[in-house]
Amino acid sequence: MDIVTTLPTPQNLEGTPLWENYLVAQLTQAALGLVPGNALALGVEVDEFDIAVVCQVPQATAAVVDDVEEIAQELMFLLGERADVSTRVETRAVATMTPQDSTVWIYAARDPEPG
Amino acid sequence: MGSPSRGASGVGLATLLRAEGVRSGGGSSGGPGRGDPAGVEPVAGGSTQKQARHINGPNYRHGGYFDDAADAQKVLDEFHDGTATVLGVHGTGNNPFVVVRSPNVRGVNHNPRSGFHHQPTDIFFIKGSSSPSVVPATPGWTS
Repeated sequence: MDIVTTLPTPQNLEGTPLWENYLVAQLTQAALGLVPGNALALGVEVDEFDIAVVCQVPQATAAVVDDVEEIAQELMFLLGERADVSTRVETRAVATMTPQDSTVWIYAARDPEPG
Repeated sequence: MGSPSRGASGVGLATLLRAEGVRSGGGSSGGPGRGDPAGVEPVAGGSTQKQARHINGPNYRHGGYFDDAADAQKVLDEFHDGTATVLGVHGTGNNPFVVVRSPNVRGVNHNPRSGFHHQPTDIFFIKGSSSPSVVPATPGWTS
């Protein structure tokens, strides 16, 4: 079995998901100072120019929706007019992530301390 | 999207955003709009987080910025008095924004993850209607 083990270098990013990574970098910028205080997780789904900002919260209040939409707006400012940026707020008891997620997560709250 | 137009006498920013029928989920739909010289909304100002995050100062957070908070108000004034040109209206969910060219104001586009550092610009986003804030945009934004 051939397994590629060469990781990217500054001189060679061949094979890396550059567009997706670019979206992750831009979302981190767009979200500065805007992540809802009760956010459990924040991430982005990317399908070329169709982009969704995804936020998991225990309770999807109007304030949370406003915050996430503002992050999406700031993201669109960075991406330009061809980007179609939507939002999705998911209600969860705890941050919920799987290896199969299409969402690229950039933030997850710490799990509650036991006891 | 209609052709750009001189921006601003007749109705306010909120009315423009409603009239443009900004669709939910992003993308562009806008066109020319008109404002209201008698109803200039105050910019959110350097004291509020929304505007301050785009002012070169202690509360700056990311992206385009003004060196002087007064320049953000000047963009709004030029939107309302018709000096600015409305290039388009875009929207994400309930947060539509207007794109204007305000040739008498200098902002700075700063988008390092796209390779653009501290570019002078006269293109601006106006976001929010009851308490609008202004964000300098890429000088290449066209609609």
